[in-house]
Amino acid sequence: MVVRALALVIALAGSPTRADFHPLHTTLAELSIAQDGGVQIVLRVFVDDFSAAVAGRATIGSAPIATPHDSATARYLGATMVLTDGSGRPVALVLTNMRRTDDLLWITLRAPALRTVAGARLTNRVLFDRWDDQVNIVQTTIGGRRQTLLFTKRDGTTPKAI
Amino acid sequence: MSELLAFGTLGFRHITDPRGADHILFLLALAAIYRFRDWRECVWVVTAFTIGHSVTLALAVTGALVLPSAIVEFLIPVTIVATALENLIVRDRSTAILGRRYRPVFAGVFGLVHGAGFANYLRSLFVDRIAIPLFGFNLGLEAGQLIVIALAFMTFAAADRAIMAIGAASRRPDDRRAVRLRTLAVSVGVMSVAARWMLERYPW
Repeated sequence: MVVRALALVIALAGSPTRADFHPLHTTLAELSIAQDGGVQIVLRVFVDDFSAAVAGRATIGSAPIATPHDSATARYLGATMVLTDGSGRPVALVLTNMRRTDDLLWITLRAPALRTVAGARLTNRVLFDRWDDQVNIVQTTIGGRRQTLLFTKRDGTTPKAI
Repeated sequence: MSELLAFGTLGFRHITDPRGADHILFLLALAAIYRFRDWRECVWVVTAFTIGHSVTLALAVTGALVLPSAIVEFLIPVTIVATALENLIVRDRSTAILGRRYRPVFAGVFGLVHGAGFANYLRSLFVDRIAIPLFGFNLGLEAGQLIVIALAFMTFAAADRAIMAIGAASRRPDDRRAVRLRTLAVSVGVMSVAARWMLERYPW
C-alpha cells in the first residue's frame, strides 16, 4: 500500500507541468501634481516585459532587449493608462521623458492642470495583456496627502479615485 | 489604501498565488513533520523563515547585497529538496545539534535564499522610501504563509485520519504510523518536483 501511494505521488509530481521561477509582476508609478498644477506620472517598469508588450509579442525571446520607440510607447500607454477629470472626461497624458537604468524603464507622462482634482480617476492596465497576476502600484501625492492604489487584472478596468 | 496595506496585499498575493509553487512547496516541506498539536513549533519555524527572507530582502533592496538571479533560482529548489530530505532522514530531532532550535535555524537560513528570490524583482522598484513597503510586503508574506500552513494542517489531519481508518480496517490503527506515512508521501512528492526544478535551473 505504501509503495503504491508513493508511486502515485511521484507520478503526480512528475506530471509535465513545468513550473517556472515565481516572478513578481509589478510596476510602480508615482502620481503627483507638479508646480505648474499639471499632473505628472513617473512609471517604473521592467524593460524586457514592457518592450515585449509594446511590440505585442507573447514572449520576451532571446533577442537583445531594446527600449521601445517613443511613439509605440505612447500608443501603448494611451491604451492602458487613462486619467479622467472630475467630470469623467479623459485627460491627455503626454509622454515627456523615457530613460533606462539597467533593467528598468522610467517613463514620465504629463497632463495639463486639472480644474479640480476632486473626482479625478485613474486606470492602470499596463502589462495586463502579458500577465494574469500583474499588479500595478500607483502612489499618489496630492496636497501633501499620500495614498497607494493597487490595480490588478481582476479590477483593472475600474477607475480609482486619485 | 495606505502604503503598508498596499504592499501587504502584494506580499500576501505573491505567497498565496498557486503559481508560486516554489515557496508553497517549501512551506509544505517545513510543515510535513508536524501534527496539529505541534502548531506552535511550526509557526515558530515559519516565522524564522520569514525573518530569514526579510533580512536578505532588506539587504538586496538597499543595495548591500547583489546576488545573481540564476544562482538564486537554482538554490531555491535546493532548499526544498534539503528540507524534504531532512524530513526523511532525521528520526529524532531532540538529540540533533541545537536541540529544539535546530529547525527554526535552518528555516531561517533557507529563508535567506528565498528572500533573494523576492529581492531580484523588488530591488529595482523600491528605490526610495523602502521601509514601509518592505515591512508591509513582509507582513503580507507572513500572513499568507500562515494561511498556507493552516490549510496544509487541515489537509494533513484529513490524510492522517484516512490512513488511520485504513489501518483500523487492517487492525493496525496507529497515530504515529499515520504521521510517518504522511510525512513520507509529502516529502517524496515535494522533493521530486523540486529536484526537477534543480535540473531545469542548473546555472553552470
